[in-house]
Amino acid sequence: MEIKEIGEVKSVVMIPRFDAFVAKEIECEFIDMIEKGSSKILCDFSQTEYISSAGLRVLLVAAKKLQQNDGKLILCNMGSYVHEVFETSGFTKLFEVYNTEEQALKSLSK
Amino acid sequence: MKKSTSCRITLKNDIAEIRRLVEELSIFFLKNSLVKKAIHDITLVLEEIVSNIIFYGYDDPFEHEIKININLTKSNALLVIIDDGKPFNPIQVTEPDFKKGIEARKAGGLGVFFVKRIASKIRYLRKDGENQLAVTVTI
Repeated sequence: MEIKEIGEVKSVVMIPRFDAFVAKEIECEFIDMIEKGSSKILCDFSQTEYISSAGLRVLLVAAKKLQQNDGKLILCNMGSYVHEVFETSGFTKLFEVYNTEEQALKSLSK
Repeated sequence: MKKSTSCRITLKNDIAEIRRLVEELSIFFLKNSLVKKAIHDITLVLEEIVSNIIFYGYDDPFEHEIKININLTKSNALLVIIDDGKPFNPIQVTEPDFKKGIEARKAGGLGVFFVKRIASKIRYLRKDGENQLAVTVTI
């Protein structure tokens, strides 16, 4: 995953297929980031065409861990299929979802 | 060319096989020029079912086969998944609790929920030591 640092925010460009095969590896990357002190993480889904429940589970694990440290995980740039999966699972209610990276960053700087 | 409306894929109980499944499916989808939505739905249903079997289906360390059969008609895809793992009837899995927040929310059951959401029909049969799951997806 490509990770950009924008101020104190880590902006992560998510991979094209976020499925059960890669879930464990991505989970480790998130945990590592959080344990190294990142508390504001932005997931950019602009490159992602596909996400399954395994991918959602990773985001939930990361968000729970962040919440314990008063941190936050927010999402942006979702395509229609990815958004549909989030909506169906009720995850759009659990996470803040923004159309653009700019809007997402603005919300984190508040 | 009539033959290409059906396809058979056999996978091992190794999570890396998910990628082979996707490759085999993409060749089959291309042959049948399915629309994007149908491709997405069929892929998601199969990944959720197969990854459940691989992660939770077996207590032993041995290699097992998961057999997938796909048959397309004009308006439907019939997906049949057969495995020799523990008895597991996804129809009986309860829905995730959508009212809970991040702390209390569990990710379990989401995969099966997606399958039920997408499927127009699901049949489950335990027969000869095998789970036989038939899922119909409108295409």
